[in-house]
Amino acid sequence: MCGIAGVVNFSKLNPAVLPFFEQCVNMLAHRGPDGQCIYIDDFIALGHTRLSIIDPAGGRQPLCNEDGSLWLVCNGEIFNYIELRADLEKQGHVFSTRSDVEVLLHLYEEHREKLLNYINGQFALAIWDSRRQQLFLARDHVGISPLYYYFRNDQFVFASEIKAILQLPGIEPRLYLPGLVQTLTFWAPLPGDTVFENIYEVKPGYYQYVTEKGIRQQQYWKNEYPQAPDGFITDADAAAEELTRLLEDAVRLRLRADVPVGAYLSGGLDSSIITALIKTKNNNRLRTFSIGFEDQQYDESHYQQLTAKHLQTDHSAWQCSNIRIGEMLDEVIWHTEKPVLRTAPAPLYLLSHFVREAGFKVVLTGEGADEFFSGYNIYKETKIRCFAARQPGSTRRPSLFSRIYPYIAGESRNAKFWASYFMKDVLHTDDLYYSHRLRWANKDYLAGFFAANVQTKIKDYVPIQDIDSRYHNDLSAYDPLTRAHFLEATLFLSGYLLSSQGDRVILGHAVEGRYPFLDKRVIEFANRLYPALKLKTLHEKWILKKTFGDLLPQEVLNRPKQPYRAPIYASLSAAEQSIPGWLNEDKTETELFDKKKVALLYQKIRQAGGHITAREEMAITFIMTCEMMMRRFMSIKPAERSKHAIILDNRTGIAALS
Amino acid sequence: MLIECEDKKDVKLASVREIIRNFIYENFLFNDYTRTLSDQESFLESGIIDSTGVLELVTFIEETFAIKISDDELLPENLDSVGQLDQFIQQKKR
Repeated sequence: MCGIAGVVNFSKLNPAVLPFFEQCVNMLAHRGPDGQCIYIDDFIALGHTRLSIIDPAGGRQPLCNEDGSLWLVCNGEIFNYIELRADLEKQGHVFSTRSDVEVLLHLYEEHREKLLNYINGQFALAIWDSRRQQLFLARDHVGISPLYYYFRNDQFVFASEIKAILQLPGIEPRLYLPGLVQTLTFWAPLPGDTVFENIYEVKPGYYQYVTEKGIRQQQYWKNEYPQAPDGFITDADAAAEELTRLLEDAVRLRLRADVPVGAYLSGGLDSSIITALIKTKNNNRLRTFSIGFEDQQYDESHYQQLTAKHLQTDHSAWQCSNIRIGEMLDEVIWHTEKPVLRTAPAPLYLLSHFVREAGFKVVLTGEGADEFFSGYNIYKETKIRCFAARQPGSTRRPSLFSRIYPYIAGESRNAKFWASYFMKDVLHTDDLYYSHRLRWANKDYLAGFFAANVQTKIKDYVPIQDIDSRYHNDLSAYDPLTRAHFLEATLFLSGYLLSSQGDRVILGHAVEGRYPFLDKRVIEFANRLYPALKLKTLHEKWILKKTFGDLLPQEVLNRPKQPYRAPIYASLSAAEQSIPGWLNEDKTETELFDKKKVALLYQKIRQAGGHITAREEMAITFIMTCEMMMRRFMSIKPAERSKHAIILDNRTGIAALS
Repeated sequence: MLIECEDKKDVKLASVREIIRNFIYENFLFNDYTRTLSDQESFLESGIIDSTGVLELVTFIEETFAIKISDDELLPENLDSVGQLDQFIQQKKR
């Protein structure tokens, strides 16, 4: 993966913008430390910071087609480029590099936006079509690669990260409060939105054409599920066979690289399956990487070691101390560009540092299996709630909740209270947000810490109404469990998991993550599986276990699922001295929060000595990371310009391409 | 009913409802008195207290009113509003 950026003015590009654009590109240097290149013509400047993985010698971008009428920058990988290239060459296209992304230019010549139907990859791309005077932007189907933009007064700017856009003159960083409310409700801004005013993201599965008339955006892919019973795959053996074929191929394609490829091992089922498929079907030697925790409650080292030994990988493991998590958080927020409710991104940021130090630029990981193969507790919770709703008087049905939350240690005294918590509105199964409404209810509590003037500004913004205006039609066709899958895949996956715990923390150290479970074919297959093949009674990811169980150690296969989490309070308090904006009236600088309330929260958690509720932990993390973000971004400093950037100047009146 | 309540520094007379309401405001609403809290409002329904916060509430009730609440009594119908708690505590005190 790399960093991309561009600035377009359909009247004429102002040369005064160019030094700032060089800063903008250099702001993405961490994503691509292997080289920078900028193309300029009368209307556009395109920039690229390169992380060279395929064709290190010849794959420089921006890249043009045979006659120089199309210019491309792409962050990401087109995994099926070998097959596509062969077809395009047969049709007479001449390639000038061995780079995977060059197929995009030739596909665009043939198919324009329909090129997106041909490619299997993870990408954010921009093609400047100089003849038509239009910019084509697109993002992969689930939003693995990020792409943001700003459009005002004739000037259209795009970049892989918001901080790069903020380098350009006239673009002031201002908070977009609804984006912040979305974050504290759904863990991330809704697709298309950010926490910055006037800065938007290209939505996952969308492309857009930008011309002087404006932006025209169109969805080309979305999560769809069968609506009639005969649309489902019901035969378990046939399903296992097809899944083997698809996932093996997804892994095979993702091993294409001219540099060594490693794998993450979390100790859970998903990354173990991916590692097993690489090791048994592809690479005899494989480096695997993992992170463990000082705090035993979160540590999965035992399972990581077990899988590494079983699969005979060359394994490297590192420990992440509580204090390190707290200390890193400020830097992590610089990368996530939004506040978070958990500290879980921080250890992943540390892991990518170690992986890079070990000389690796590419790793395969197991992300996506939980969303599409029913791994999360929220699916089980929804299933139990629907089951309880069918016989409201039953006291035994709600007791099933204790089966899915055994890790809530020391809570047995108030088991009945837990049950009533999960039974709230249990009969409302036709509520489109039946599965998630309980979780989203934390929003009111968290928003309660905002200062009075902020509360006034956000009082009319209702996040659930907002998502209803966007997804009502998509959701109404499905049953509650399918809706839960749609919501997780649409809201949580790209906005949080692939961003704050994905792209940002892995590319923060110039490492590329590749995700076989997110191969479009695997997702479309998973969405067609009969629900009971994924969640059989309360057994999560049943079909994955059935299909790949033989490859894994029994202990890993049979262990209860442990959600990946990192310590919060212990980490923050251990690193208190080094945390800007530590929860304290004197140190809370911004005007966003009610300082008195924040001070009371601080006092309460101090007195409790760390025995605080999950909601309070979320509140601390949110408040602090908001503070960190505000400090870092609201007075963002100009970046340096790279001394080594190559400039391709194609403006009228400029002598030649240098 | 007025009750003798040890409030760290001095002993004072206050109604059970008042004591509970103060505790809720201080610990769960962070003294946001712009938010009203009726005797009947359900803590769980309104999201004032989440299910983990219940243990905090129970500990407070046991210590403040010198009563012991058994696991069987930890039910929403006993503990889910200011009014229910008042009634429950008075029964226990008898």
